[in-house]
Amino acid sequence: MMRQRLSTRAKHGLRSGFSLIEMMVALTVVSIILVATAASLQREADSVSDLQRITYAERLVQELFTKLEQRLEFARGFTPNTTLQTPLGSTTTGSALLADISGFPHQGTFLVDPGTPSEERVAYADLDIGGNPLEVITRAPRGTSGFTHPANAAVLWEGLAVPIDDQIAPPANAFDGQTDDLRGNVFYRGDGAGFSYQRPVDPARTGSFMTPTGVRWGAQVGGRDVTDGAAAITYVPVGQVTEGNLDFDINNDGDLLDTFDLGRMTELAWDGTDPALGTSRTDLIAPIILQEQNDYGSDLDGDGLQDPMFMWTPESGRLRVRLFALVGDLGGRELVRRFETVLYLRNGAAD
Amino acid sequence: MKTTRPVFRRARNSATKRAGFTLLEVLITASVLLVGLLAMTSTSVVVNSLRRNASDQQRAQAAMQAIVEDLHATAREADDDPANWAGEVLAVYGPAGNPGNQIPVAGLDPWVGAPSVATVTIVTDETTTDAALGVALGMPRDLDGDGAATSPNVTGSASLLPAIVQLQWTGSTGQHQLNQVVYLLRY
Repeated sequence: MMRQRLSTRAKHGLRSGFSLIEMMVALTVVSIILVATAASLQREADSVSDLQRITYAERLVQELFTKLEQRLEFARGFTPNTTLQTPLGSTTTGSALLADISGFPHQGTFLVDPGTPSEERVAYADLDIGGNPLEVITRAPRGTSGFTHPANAAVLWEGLAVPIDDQIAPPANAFDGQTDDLRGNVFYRGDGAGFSYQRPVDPARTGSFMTPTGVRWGAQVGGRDVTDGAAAITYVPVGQVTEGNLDFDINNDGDLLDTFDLGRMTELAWDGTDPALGTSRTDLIAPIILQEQNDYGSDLDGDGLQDPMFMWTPESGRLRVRLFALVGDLGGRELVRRFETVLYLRNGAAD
Repeated sequence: MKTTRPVFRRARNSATKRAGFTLLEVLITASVLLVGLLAMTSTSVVVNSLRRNASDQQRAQAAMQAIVEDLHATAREADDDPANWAGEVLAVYGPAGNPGNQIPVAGLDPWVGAPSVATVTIVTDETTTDAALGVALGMPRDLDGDGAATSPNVTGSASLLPAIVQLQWTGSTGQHQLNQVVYLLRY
């Protein structure tokens, strides 16, 4: 039919063209192809965008892990777990005297009477190396209440998370959580928001980390090696996000009610003999790390098990690091990624 | 009626004289457009696939590091008595251990038919060879310090244990593999 019409037009010496119907059909076909291709391209673009953000976050966290490995490979870890040397009144704000401050950073938060009804967080702004007090204390921050604590009450730096001895059927007050691990689930004590350590140092640059009695332990404070110095990796919140505002269930618990701190990992270092000699602070990663506000170390992937950031096993020198990063919120779509590694500290525990 | 006919004829003649696209022209244009769009899509798919590969590779390397570090920690934590040390390491990373010698890696798919992504092989036979193991470990080797590499099983006496960690995963561009060998020391 078309051939007949074209030949008729040709006979009349006219240039052939499409009818309106032909053009509409052709345009419809081209439009369908374009729409299908555009949808495919959009999907690819979204996918690439997601992947770019994940890759960026992976790079940041991998750099953090590399920094941790460099700092901790030959380090020895502290287990800041001690007792109150004198009672602590429920409203005392001057100082708290501890039996041993080894591994407690020069500023931070500790837990008193963990696992008991009078469990309390106490923040401190300074420590006095000679007398062992933690000074300028703030009572009951982040969700706990102030209590009176007797002498010899258990004290734990909040950064610490250590497996407890009874892994079969521990009483409820003997642990703060249970986490999944390479070797199975583990009951542990603490929040796991940090890790403190010392490493071999060579302040005089003699090329040796040894003294006649053994390894010279310390830390790098402000870029220089300091004998008897110490350091801690700590979580520093710098902002907050709420599930409600993001319209995104960050911890997969089925609601949009939770609030999370968004923070970075920071290395604090201080002189262990005289803090007045200096302290230093080095940020190790951009603020993309999530922790549930007032509940550090809580479950962040919805598997029903806790997720402490640091899990320290002094007996084996094994430090598990697990971080959850808020990767981005492009186009209103959030992504949370879990990153995990295990570091083996060749020199084990300090005590 | 007579007055309207010439008007229509003129209009049709004028319309048919206006140039239109030929079918061939439209088909060629549509084909060129389609080829261009397909090229863009396929480039995007390739780039995406490469990024995914890099991401998988990074995940595998992180898993490898975690397993190797955990092996060292296991060796340190085990009883330092030569009679028990290797047995305790195998109780964790042997076939019946926890996590055992087959370990899944979150986010990575194992090879088709393989039980898991990561495989840990702890060598307790002094007499085995690198050729038999398929890696460069320096075997046969004295693993229990008795001056000879003749014992087929040093589980009750080892002071040194070679371990092979192998990760095999299926990515968007096929099968990938990562191997690492380490020596575990009795402290």
